[in-house]
Amino acid sequence: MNNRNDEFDKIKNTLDNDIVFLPKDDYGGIMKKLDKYKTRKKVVNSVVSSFCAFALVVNIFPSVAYAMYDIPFIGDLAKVVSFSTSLSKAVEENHVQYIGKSQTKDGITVTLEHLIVDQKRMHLFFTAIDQDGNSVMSSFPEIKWDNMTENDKLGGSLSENGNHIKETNDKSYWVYIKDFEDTTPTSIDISIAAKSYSSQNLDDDAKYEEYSMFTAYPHFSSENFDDELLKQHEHLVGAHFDFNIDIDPQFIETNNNYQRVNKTFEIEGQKLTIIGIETYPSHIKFIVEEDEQNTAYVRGLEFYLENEKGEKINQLSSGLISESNPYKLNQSIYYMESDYFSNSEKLTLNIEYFELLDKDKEFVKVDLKNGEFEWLPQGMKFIGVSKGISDNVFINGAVQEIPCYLIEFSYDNNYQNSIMEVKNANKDTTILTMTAPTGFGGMYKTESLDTENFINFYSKKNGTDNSTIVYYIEEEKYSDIFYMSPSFTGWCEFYANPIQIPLI
Amino acid sequence: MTQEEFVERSQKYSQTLYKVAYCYLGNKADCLEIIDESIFVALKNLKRLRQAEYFETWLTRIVINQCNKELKRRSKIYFGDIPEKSQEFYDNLPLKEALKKLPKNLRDVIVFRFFLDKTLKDTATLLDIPQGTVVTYQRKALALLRLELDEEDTYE
Repeated sequence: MNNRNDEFDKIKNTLDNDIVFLPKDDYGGIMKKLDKYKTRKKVVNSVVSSFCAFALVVNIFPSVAYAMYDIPFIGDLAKVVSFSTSLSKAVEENHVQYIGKSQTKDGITVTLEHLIVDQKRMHLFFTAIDQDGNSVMSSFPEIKWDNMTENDKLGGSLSENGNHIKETNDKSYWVYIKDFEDTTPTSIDISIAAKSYSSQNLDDDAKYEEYSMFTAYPHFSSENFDDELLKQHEHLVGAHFDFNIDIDPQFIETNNNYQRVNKTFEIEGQKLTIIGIETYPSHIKFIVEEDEQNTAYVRGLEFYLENEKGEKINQLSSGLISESNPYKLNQSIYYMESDYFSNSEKLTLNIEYFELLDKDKEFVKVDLKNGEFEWLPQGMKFIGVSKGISDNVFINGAVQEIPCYLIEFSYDNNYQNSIMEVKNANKDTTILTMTAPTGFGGMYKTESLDTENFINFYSKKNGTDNSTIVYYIEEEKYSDIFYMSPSFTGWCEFYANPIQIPLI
Repeated sequence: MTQEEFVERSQKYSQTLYKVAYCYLGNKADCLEIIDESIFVALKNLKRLRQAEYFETWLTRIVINQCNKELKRRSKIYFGDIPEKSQEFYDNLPLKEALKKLPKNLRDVIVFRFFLDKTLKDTATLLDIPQGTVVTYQRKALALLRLELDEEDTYE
C-alpha cells in the first residue's frame, strides 16, 4: 500500500514497453469475419437483447442516465434498488406501493410496477417492452397532479451516471425520479411515450442515436411544436400511455421529520451553522448556513453523518446532491442518504473536505477590447481574442460546432508546480492548500450581470514553463466587457481525520 | 472513411487501445482479443461514423464497450454497480486489482488521466462527462487507491 506510486510506475512502464501493433494480416481475418457476420446476421441479432444495449448506452453516455436509469432486473425490487441505501431500507421496511398497471398499444406494453414515494420525492419503476419481450425506448414520463406549482413541474429527475445497472435475464426496469417541490400529490397522472427501435438489429451506438432522437422529441407539448418540425419527426412519434395512480396515503402522511439543530461552529476562520435536518424515507435534506460576516464563500464541503450505531450516512451518490436555498442564498441544502428507518438518536457531522472562495474575488471585471483587467490570477497573462469554432462540444449526445470567440491566456506552470509541492509537504493532513487563484473557472457574468457558462474551455502545456488556456464564448453572447470568475482564491483542505461536530 | 484509411488509423492507434484494454482487463491475451473484437465491431459499423476526425474517440469507446461486456460476462455481479467498498478493501489489493475493483466511473477517469496521460478536457470528451466531474472522480479514485499523482495539469 505504501508503494502504490511504485506499482503505478511499474504498470505504466509495462504498458509503454509492450508494443502492440496490429499486422495487416489480422485485418484480413477481421474482413473474413465480417463477411461471415453478414451471412449469419439474423441469427446473431436475435441473440442480442435490447436491455444489454441500453445498459451499455447508459454507461457510456451518462447524459442518457442523467434523468433516468435503466435497471434490468427480474421482479425483485430489492435488487433493483441496491444502488441506494435509503431505497433498499425502504423496500426492507415495506415502504413500497405496488402498482401493477399495464397497457398495450401498437404492440408495446408499458407496465407501472412499483412506486417508492414520500412527501418530497417519488421513484417510479416501470417496464416498456414489445410483443417479443424486448425492451423498447421510453420517453421521460410526464407527471401531473392537481395544484402542482411551476416549481413542482421543474422538480428534478437526476442520476449521476449509469452506475446503477444490473444484469438480469428478464426485465429492464426504468426508474424515474420526481421531486415534489411545493406540494405533495395524493393522485398523479403519468404519461409515457414508448417506441420500438427501427430494428432490433441495431448496434449499441445506433440504438443510442435513435434513443436520443426519440427522447429529444417533445412528446407532450405538441401544442408548442412547429408543424414543419412535427412533420419531419413523424417517424419518432411513439405510442402514448396515460395512467392515473392514487398514492397510498400512509407513505405521504405528515410526520414530524424536521429537526432544528442550530449548531454553529468555525472552520478555517469561517462561521457555519447547521440549521436543521429534514428526514424523509428516500433522502435527508441537510441545511447549512454561512455567516453573512464571513470573508469567504464555501465552495466545497464534503462530509458524512454518523449515528450512535456507527451507521454512516453519506451524501447521495446520484441525483441532486446540493443546491442553494433560492430564498436565502447563504443557505445551502445538501441531499443525503436517509436514516429514516434507523431512528437515530445522535448524529455527528464529519467534515472531510472544505473549499473557500474569498468574497472580494468572486468576479473580475475584464475589458477584452483594451486588454485591461482589474487583476489576473497569479502567473496568468492575457494573449488575445479571436474568432473561431468551438470543437468537441457534445450537445444532446452529438458533437456540434458552434461559432465562438476564443479568449486566450497563458499561465505559468511553475505556480501550479509550487502548489503541488505544498500538497506533498502536507500530505499527512492536507491534500491541497492554495492561497491564490490559479486561473478562471467556466462561469462568467455579462455586463448586465446575468450568470452564464463558457461553452467550453481547456488548456494545454507549452513546454515545461508555460501553458495556454482558451475559453469559448458563443458569438452572440460576447461583449468586450464582462466578469470572469477566478477558479480559486482561498483554501482547500482535505482532512485525513474528519473534523467531528456533534449535532444531536 | 475507406477501409484502407480505417486500417491505417486503427493500426496507428492500436498501442493506445491496448493500454485502455489493459487497464480494464489486466492481461495481454485478453486485451488482444478485445482489440480484435473491437476492430471488427468498428469495421462493421464504419458507415455510422459520420465525422472521421472523431475516429479515435469512437474507437476508444468501442474498446471500453467491449471491455465492459467482457467484465460483465465474467461476473454477474459486476457491471459498474459495485457496492461501496471500504478503504481497507482497496488497501489490501495490489494496484492492478484495486483498479479493476474501482467503481466504473472512477476507473474510467483514472485510466484516461493517468495511464493514458489524457488531459482533463480529452478525458471529459472521451467519457462525455463535464470536466468538473472528471476532477471529482479523479480525486476520489486517487484517494481510494492512495496514489499521489499530479492532478493539476489542465483544469482551471
